[in-house]
Amino acid sequence: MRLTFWRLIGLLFLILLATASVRGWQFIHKLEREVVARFTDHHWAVPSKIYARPVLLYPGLDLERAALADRLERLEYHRVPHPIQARGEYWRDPVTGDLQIFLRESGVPGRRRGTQRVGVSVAGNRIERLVDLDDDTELPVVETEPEVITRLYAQTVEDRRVVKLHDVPSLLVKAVLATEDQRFFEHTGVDFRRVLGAGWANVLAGRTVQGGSTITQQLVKNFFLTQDRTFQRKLTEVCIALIIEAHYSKLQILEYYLNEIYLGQRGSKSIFGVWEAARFYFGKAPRDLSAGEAAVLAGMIKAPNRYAPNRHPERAIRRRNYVLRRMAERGAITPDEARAAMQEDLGRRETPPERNKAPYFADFIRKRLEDSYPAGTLTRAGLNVFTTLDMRLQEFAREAVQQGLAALEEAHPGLEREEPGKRLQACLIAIQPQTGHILAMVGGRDYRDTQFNRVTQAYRQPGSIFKPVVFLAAIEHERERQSGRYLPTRLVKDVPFTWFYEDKEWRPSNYRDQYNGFVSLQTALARSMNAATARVAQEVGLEATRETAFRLGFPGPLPAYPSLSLGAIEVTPFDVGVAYGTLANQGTFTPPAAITWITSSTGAVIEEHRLSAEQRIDPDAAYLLTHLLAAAVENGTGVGARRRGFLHPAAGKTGTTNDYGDAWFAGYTPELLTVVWVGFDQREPHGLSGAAAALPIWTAFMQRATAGTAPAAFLPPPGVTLVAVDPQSGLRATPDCPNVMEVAFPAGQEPLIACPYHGRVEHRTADAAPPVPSRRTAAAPPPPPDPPAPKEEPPPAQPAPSQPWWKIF
Amino acid sequence: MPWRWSRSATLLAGVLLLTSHEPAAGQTRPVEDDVPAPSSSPAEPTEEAVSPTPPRDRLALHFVDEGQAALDREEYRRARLLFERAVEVAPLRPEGYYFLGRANLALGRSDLALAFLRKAELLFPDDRREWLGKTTCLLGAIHEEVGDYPRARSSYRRCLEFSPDNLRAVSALARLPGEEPAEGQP
Repeated sequence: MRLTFWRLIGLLFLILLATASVRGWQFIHKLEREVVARFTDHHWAVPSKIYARPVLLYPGLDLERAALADRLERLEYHRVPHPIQARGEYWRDPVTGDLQIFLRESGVPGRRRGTQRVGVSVAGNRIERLVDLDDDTELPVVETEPEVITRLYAQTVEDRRVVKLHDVPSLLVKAVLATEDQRFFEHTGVDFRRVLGAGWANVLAGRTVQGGSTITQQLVKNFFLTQDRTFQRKLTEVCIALIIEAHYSKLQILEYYLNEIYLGQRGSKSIFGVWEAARFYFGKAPRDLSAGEAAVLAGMIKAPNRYAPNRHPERAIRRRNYVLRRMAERGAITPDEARAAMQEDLGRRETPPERNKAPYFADFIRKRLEDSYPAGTLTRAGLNVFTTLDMRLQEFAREAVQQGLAALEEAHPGLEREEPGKRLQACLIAIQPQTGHILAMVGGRDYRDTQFNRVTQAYRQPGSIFKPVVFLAAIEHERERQSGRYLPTRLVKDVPFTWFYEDKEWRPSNYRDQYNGFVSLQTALARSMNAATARVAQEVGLEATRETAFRLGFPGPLPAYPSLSLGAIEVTPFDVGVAYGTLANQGTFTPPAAITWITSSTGAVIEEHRLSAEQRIDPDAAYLLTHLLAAAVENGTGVGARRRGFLHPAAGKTGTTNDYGDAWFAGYTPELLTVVWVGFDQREPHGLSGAAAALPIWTAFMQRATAGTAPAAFLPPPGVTLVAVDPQSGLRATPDCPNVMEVAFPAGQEPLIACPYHGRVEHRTADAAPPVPSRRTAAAPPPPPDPPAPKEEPPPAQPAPSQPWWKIF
Repeated sequence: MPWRWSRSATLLAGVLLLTSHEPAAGQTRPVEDDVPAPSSSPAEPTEEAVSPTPPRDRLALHFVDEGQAALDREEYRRARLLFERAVEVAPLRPEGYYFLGRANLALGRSDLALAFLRKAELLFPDDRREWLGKTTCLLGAIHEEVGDYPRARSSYRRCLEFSPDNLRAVSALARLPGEEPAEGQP
């Protein structure tokens, strides 16, 4: 009986043991599959980066204007008091003023380069010569790496750049091993000897003074588990550590670890991995770290924020010295090397808080990318997004908007508002017309107050800045029919009238209800006369106006009612910029571009955007309108730009809506187009015209953006003739005319009759003032005779060459 | 179809007559036959070359030269990038547009080539007649290739304004369909 009882107990025990073994095996097996799967498929969450355009250095460049020193600082280059030795350093020779720059790698597609040591000879603050210091060859141009505008983070904001183990210096690896896991290459994931040692030390101390976790266990903890201190979590950690050690090599585990470790904070962003930490704390790539710096980083792993060299330098030095002593004890470095490293200056530097100087532009890019890439890709895939933004112009734009609004509030205290979301706002966009590149974008006065990007999101009435579309439609009408009705000097009635349409009526009215009778087309636009403009629109037709607007780049379809002619539609400043860009680019539409390249984290090109162009407006018509708009700047509503000292050739138009809720100025030089809008988000009237509110901001920006550049003139195309005209008669000016203005006419339609009001009345061109010299007309040769008609058939066909036909040019 | 054959034959004849390479836009390169040197070329000093070229323009010309070299190596995408950089740096220099037109043509984008060549034509000053002749002649050839004969004729005529001896334009005007007979001819 007793025997049977014990047999039963034994049997039960065996069954339980077998069951436990099976369940245990199942658990381990399942864990193993999960761990291997997660480890193998793991992709680091690396935020994508948005870059501004790189800075070009070339002989003749004015260093002060280029703000080179400021740009190098922003790119985290360190000015050193001796000739350059390491990447990321620059030195200015105190005697000659020459520069040496140790450039880091640049990953811009199409112009990738490795590190480069460059000598910059300076004469009179201009670059005289660029030299590659490695082989002493002269360089025609040098390009810095592009500046990071911002990173695209997920909700947990992490900065990380994944680094391969072979890019991590052995010194840093040794420092980490000496501090965190001396027997890493000897144990199998769990260092039982160390666990016992740590346990004994903790018992003796009566508190936790030593940890027993290996690097593999730390990795497991960060990678798979929580930071809870429970027996179950510890047991799971041990199991996973053993599994990982069984499946992966020590070097793989080490590489994972060095990319995974948390190493402090940069503002609200967490720094993960040794690359990002080396860059943040020392401005270097890991391979450039000194022994002391490597020891600082290794020492930080235990408590990153406690030992951060930028926040607690004394603690960091104590910890560094501890690490160096451990390294010397382990034979990783010699005692002399350790002593030398302990004498190193910590190199603590003021790391400026990362400040996104183009937050609205960054949002604009992010939204554009979110339309094309799956959720999470932007914040995890480490894409590199290269953009067209010029950080120098962006800074000018930001300051122009902020200072311009402050000046307006000072001059008109009634515009001030306490509540941040209700303050007077402005936005600015600057575009290079020939490439469509967005060079600067300021979506509001302060991103912290409101993230609403007025450049792309604020649909507002353009008011008078739409008028050039009407005049362009008239110019095109004239080119087509050559009726002489819409030449700049022809008169149009600026009187009240009623426009009947679709059983309705509309009466355009002028500013302060003042009308001017008969005025020239040029004056009507320059002085922004509503009645005259509406009459031109009525004559030309709404359909022509709408169609012209669409070709310029305004989004269509625009409504077909008469008030369209005075800008009673809603468009964004971005739309206005696109349309005016076509005018500034001699009638060629170039799609606006903000992104030039997107590459993967490994540098593979994912997207590229190449320059595109489409001739949408005849160049003669575009020039004729530009000339009219130039008159608006010279002596029309845009004359404030001249009064404020902006003297480059420019064309532009003010815009003010009826209720004084929107003030605009859109204007351009041959190389730069800028649109400014001012108003309240709540559409509250501010009572200011475009000339009073937007033009000062436009002028302030353009003055700085064009400073130091040679003024470029608008080139008349071959089909345009410039003529000196008497403004009173609208006919060719005579030498006796007291006032003369230059007017652009379609070639062949310029006035031939001389002004009869002043001096002699002659009907011959020769007696009138000569045409204003135009580059085209002055040098244009007489038309050649018709080509001789061949008497015989064209030459017989030749054997087909191997190259395509277009190669002959 | 017969027309296409005859046109191709004439084009090929033109190839033999006119095969040449551009000189570098801003550097010394051999000037061949009827191919003009740009006015900023040190090989043939002109007023423009004698007057100091602004630094940005020099940089743009450097990119144009590099692009031309890439074009010669038939690296059309790289060439396009370099010409785009030239346009970015100095958007009012015509050379970048001219070669951008050529690069896009090589890449099969005759629509873009037309737009850029028109832009080049607008920007070349009148004293660079040879370049204007080349630009307008190429415009004529593209118009002809896409079957836009009125525009082709117009471009060839402009070409002859600048380069009266341009055999390609002469022969093209003679053979293009729909050409009105010159005054005094039967």
